[in-house]
Amino acid sequence: MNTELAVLSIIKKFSKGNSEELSINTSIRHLNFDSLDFLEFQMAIDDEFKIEVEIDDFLKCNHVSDIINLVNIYCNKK
Amino acid sequence: MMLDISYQLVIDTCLKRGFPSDIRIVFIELSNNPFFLSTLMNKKNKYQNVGNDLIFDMIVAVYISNRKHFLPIVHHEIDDLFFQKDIPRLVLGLHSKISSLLPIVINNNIPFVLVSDAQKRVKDVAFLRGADPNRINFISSDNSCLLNAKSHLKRNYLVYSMIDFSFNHEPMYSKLSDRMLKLGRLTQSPTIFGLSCVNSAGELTYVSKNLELTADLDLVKQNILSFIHQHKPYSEFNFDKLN
Repeated sequence: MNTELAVLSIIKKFSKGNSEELSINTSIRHLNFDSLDFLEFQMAIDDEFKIEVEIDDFLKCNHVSDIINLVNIYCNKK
Repeated sequence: MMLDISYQLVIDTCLKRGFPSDIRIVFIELSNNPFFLSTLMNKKNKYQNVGNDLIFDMIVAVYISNRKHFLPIVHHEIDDLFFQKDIPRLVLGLHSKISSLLPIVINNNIPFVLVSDAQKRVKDVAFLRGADPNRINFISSDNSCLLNAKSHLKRNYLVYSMIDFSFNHEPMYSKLSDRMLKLGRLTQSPTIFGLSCVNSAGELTYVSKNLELTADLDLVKQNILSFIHQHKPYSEFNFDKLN
């Protein structure tokens, strides 16, 4: 599975809104994640891609596409 | 505005005594005043404090509103774990007028961060207690709170957070959130729960217990409720979802 599909799949697990509208352009703010969702989402990303994303980098992401880019950057660092 | 008679008595006593920095002087005088004690019958503040805890809170409130310096005596029974700077520590507690812990962490140069949205008030109170407010780092309790807390735990900070909250803006703090317990479990951070009680001399005692987060979460919550009940038997808390 490519990074985009994998990230979207993880988001769907945590999403409280209409996940059918989910795309790479979706704003992180519109995911309606609470604090625990964000934590578990970040840990799920780390687990899925076997990476350790810096939380400060993660918090700078505004859109789903930013998360995908971040994952790609960390995967390429491995 | 018409002040509650008990608060007026606290103000009068503080003024009569000249706001001594040793607030035990005011505490002892008030706790030996039968009329004052009678005004506190069936009274509980928003932190569910009664008796000595309530008297102490009222005195502190008057000192803070008058911006008077005070140095409460704090005894503490804290596990060595608390002072270990090379491991992450999550310290959980209940809201109160003043924190027993802040001066301890500040004066021991422990890297720490406090989860709070009342940053100005916390800094003001620290200043009045002679602790350097600039040493207090904060995390806001927004939806990035747990991620920020995790980030600090990874850097071996002590993360200090209250877990009680008021439900739907009710005046009393009577609910407990388990989200910090989940953070402790997910990050496998040593986690301590503690609270403060006031003795008959007007001195604070901070008591704490280590939480075994590998146990069933419901059991951990029950242990916390039992610990609170042991030290504050008049309080009524239950776990609920934080909005």
